[in-house]
Amino acid sequence: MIDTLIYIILSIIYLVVVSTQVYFVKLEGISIRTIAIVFQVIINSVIWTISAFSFYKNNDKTRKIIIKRNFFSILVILIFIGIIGESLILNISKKTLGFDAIALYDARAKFLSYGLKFSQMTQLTIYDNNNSYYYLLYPPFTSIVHYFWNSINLGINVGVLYSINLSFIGIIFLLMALKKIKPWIALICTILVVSDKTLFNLSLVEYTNLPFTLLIFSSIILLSQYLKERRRWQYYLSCILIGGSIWIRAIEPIWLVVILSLLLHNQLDIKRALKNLSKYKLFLLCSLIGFFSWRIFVNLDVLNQSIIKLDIFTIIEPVLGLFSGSLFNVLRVIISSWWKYLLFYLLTILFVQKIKNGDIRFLKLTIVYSLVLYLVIIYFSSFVGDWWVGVAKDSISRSGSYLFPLAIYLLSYGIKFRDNKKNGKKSKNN
Amino acid sequence: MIIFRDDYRRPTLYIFLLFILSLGSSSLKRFSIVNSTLLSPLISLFSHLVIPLAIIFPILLFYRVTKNTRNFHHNKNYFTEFSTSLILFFTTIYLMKMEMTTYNNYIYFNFGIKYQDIQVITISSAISSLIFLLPIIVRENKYLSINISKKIDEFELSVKNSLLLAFSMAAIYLLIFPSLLNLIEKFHQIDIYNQNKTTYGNLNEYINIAEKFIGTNNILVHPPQGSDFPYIGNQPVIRYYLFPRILISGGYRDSTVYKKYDKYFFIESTGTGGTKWPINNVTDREISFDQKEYQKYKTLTLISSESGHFVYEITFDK
Repeated sequence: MIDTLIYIILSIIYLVVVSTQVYFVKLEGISIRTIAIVFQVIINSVIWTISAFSFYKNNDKTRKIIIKRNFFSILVILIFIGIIGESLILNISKKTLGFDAIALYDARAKFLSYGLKFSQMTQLTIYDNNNSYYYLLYPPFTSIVHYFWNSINLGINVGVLYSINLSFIGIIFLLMALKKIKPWIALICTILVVSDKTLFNLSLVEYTNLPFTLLIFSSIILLSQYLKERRRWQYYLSCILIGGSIWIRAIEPIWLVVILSLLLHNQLDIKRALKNLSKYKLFLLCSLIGFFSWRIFVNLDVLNQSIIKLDIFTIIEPVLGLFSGSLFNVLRVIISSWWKYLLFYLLTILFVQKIKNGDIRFLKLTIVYSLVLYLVIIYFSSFVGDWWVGVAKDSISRSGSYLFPLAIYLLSYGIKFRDNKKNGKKSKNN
Repeated sequence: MIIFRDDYRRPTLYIFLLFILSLGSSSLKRFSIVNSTLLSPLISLFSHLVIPLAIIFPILLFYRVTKNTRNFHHNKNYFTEFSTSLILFFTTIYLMKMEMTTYNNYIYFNFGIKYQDIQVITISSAISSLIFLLPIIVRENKYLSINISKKIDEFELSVKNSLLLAFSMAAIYLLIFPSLLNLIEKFHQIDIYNQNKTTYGNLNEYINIAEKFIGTNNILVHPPQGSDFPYIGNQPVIRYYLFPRILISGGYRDSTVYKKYDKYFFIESTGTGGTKWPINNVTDREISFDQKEYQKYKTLTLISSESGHFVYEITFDK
C-alpha cells in the first residue's frame, strides 16, 4: 500500500519532468545539441518500464498505512493541512513573483509564449555587458512548467504549483518515514519538515530550489531504502529521479556527493568502492547523462566563452588563502548565519556515528559530503568576488534545503538502533 | 563534560548562573566599567550557550533522577532545580515586561541579549518547571497514579547517546521556534503580498512610464547595472516587463550599436546615490550613457515630462 503510493506519486513527478524534456526537444529540434537529452528521455523511459515490471513483481504488499484515528493524529493532519493552506492562500493572493523568477524563470516562460526558442534567448542579451548567456545559466524545467501553466490560463498565480510541491515533499516524507519509524513520530517529523523556515519560505517564491529538493530528497531516501530492502524498482526510480533533479538545477553537483557516498557506504576502502562502482554503474550513467544533457546544449553555443575564467591564479590564491586565514573568515560567516542547522546536522551525525548499517551510513555520508561541498563552493567563490557573503548567507541555505528533511529522517530512524549495552541484550533491529 | 560527570543533578542552577553572568557582564559593558572589546565575545558566548542548555538539561536531569530513585521528588537537588527554573522563568518574564513598558530594544541595549533569545529562555524554563511539577501532581494524586519510572525504563540509551539525542532535540527546538514565528509573520504579511506589481525600488514607476511612451518595436537605453541602479539597471528584470522592446545597457561599451538603428529612447533617472543618468552636455551636443565616454548626437527631443519622469528620443549620426 505504502509502496504503491510512493511509486505512483514519484512516477507522476517524473512524468512532469519527462514531458518538459520532450517539449524542449520538440521546440529545439533534434540536433547534435539536443541529442543527449533525447538519449536521456529514451534511456529513462526504458528504465521506468523495467521498474514498472519490477514493481509489479516485487513490491511490499503487506505494508499498510497504520495511523490510528485518534485525536493526536487528526490534530497533526489538520496542522499539516493548515500549513499547506497558508502557503496556498499566500500564493494565490500575491501579485508579484520572486526576484529570480522575474529575472529568469518566468521571463523565459514569457519568451516561450512569444515563440522564442531557448537557443535564441542568448541573442536577447547581446547589448548587455553584464548578463551575457544569463538565460542559459539554469536548466529550463521551471520555465517550461510556467509556460504550460500560463497557457492553461486558469487565472491563478503560478506559485500555487510550489505549494503543491511543498505538500508533495511532506507526503513523500511521511510515506517514506512510515516504513521505518513509528507512526506518531513520523507524523510529528512531517510537520517539522513542512513548517521548516527555509522550506516554507521557498514555497512562496518561484525558484528552482523546491522542485530540486523534492526530486533529490526522494532519490536519496529511495536509494537508502534500497540499500536495506533490495527491491530493484527503488533503485531504478532513484536513478531516474537523480537525472531529473539535474534537469531542474545543475549548478551544484549534488549528484557527485550522492555517488561518492554510495561508493563508500560500506567502508572507506578503495577496493570496496571500485566494487560498488561496477555494482551501481546505472546510477552513475543516469547522473552523468543528466549532467551532460544540459551542459552540451549550453556549451555548444558558448564554447569559446567560458562563464568563469580559469587561470593559474584562481587555483593558487585559494591554496595560499588556507594559510592566511581566509578559510577562517569563510567559516565565521557560514557558522554565524547557519549555526542552528549546522548544530542539528552535527549532532545527528554524531548520534548515528556508531551505527554500522549501510543505509544509515549512506545517509550520514551524504549529509557530511554535502556540507563539505558547500564549504568548498563558498571558499572558492570568496576569491572571485564580494558576492560570496550573500551566497553563504542566502543561496546555500536555499539550495541545501534537502538536508533538513534528510537529517530529521536520519535521526528518527537512528533512534531505532538504540544501544542496549548495559543490559547485555541485542536490539531487535540490529 | 567535567561539570556533567559530578554535578549533573544541578543543571538549571548552572544555566541560571550563566544567565546572571551574561546579564552582569553586559551591564558592566553598558556602564563602561570594563573594556567592552574584551567582554563582547564572552557575552555572545553566554547568550548562545544559555538557550540550548536551558532546554536540554532539565530533560536529561528528569530522565536521570526518575530512573535512579523512586521518591525522587523528595530529593534535595530536585527542589533546587525546580526553584531555579522558576526563578529563571520569572526573571525573564520581568525582563520582557520591562521591554514592553519602557521602549523597544530595551533588553538588547542594556544587557546585550536579544529579545527573541529571552523569549526562548522563558518558554524553555516554563517547560522545565512544568516537567518538574508534573510528577508531583501525578504522584501525589491517588486518582492519577501512573508508574512513570517503569515507562522510562523501557527506553534504553547509553549516557553518551542520550546526551546527543537531547542535544539534537534541543537543536530541533531551536529550529522550530523561528519556523513557528515565520509561519505567523508570513500570515500577517498577506497585505504586502497583495500589493500590485513589485516592491523593488522605483521599478514600478519606471516600467509604467516605459510601457506608456515607448512602443513595443522601439529601442530603450537603460542605466548601467550597479549599486546606483540595482533594479532598473538590471536588464533581465526590466526585460520581463518590456519584452519585445530591444534593450541596450548604458554600460555597454561598443558604441557602434548607436549607429545601427534610427532612433533610441531613454528615461532620465536618478540613482540611489543621487547620481543623474545620463550625463547630457547640451552645449557640445554630447551624451554619456556609461558616465565615462561621450558621443555626439544628432537630435534630442523631449517626449514627456509626466510626473517628474523625462522621456527622451535621441538620434545619432550614422
